Amino acid sequence: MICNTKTEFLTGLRIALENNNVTDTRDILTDFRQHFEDGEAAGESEADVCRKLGDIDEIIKQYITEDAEQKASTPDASGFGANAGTGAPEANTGAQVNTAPQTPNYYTAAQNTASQAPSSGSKAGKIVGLVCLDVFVFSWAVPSLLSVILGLIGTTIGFVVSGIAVFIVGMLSFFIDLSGFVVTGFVPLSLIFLGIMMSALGGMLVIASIAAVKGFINVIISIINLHARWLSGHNILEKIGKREDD
Amino acid sequence: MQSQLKRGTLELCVLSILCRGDRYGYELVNIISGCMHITEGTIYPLMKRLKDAGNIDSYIVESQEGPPRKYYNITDSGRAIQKEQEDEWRNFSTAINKILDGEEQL
Repeated sequence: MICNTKTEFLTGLRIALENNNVTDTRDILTDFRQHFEDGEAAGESEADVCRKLGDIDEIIKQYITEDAEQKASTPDASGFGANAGTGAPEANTGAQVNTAPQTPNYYTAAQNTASQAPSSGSKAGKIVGLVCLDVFVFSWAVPSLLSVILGLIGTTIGFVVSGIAVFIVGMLSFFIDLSGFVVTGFVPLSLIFLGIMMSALGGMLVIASIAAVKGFINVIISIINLHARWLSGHNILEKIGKREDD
Repeated sequence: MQSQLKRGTLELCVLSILCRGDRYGYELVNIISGCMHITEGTIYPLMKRLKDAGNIDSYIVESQEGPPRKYYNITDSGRAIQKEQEDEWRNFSTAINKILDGEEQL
């Protein structure tokens, strides 16, 4: 994955780290965020920093390897004993400083454990649970939430449009005698102010609607991710409007 | 350069630089990339490995301008490993150079 911006890079890196169960994700992201900040302070563009950092997949591969070696060098990791013994001359210190040729084995081992972990546990039970949730909760919660939001959007449009219309009528009634078309008890100036007030209310409703739509999309994403997590072990979508550093 | 060879020697590079003083990530990466072509992002996984193994450590320095900054420093065991790897590398490169220069003894 090739990125051009800091946000793109950090988000991509975080998702990849989480999906591969790399430890100390927060610490790693701090390192890279600081790298970007230092790069910018030194006059480099985000795209330049991204290009020099290289492919996220390549970085992730390294972290997976490091994690696996770390596990392998702890005493309780059985099965790696034979490998550790082969580095005879450096055996005293070699446990931590693994020599390069051993790497491929560990990498495969790490990938195996990573891909097996999510499938452990009762998959059938999870599927039944998901179906129950879908049928009994999401089936009514999502449509009712959607109808509330659509209602909000409708109200918003009503306020904005009628506010503008009243404003225009107020303006026109200065110049044209509209008494034949519009029945109002208002003087023109109060019509103008009424129009402005209604538009302003409409404006506030626009902000509320946008927040509601964003929230709704995030709820949907959460539901999809819940399914993905239970079925395959990791999230597949990133929430919108989320800061990359939380 | 072959990645395996580079990986082993990069570790020695990081340890050697930190032996001479504490550095923050960007600084360290730039020192190395100033000397050879590297994929900069791969230095950080290496740092994590060295840290997990206890050969280097990190600490946070609060700064007036901007967010706090993370510095890396070498530990005693890191120094010992640096010494060992430096000797190993010098012997190895001397041997290789001899062969490359055709000075090997028959």
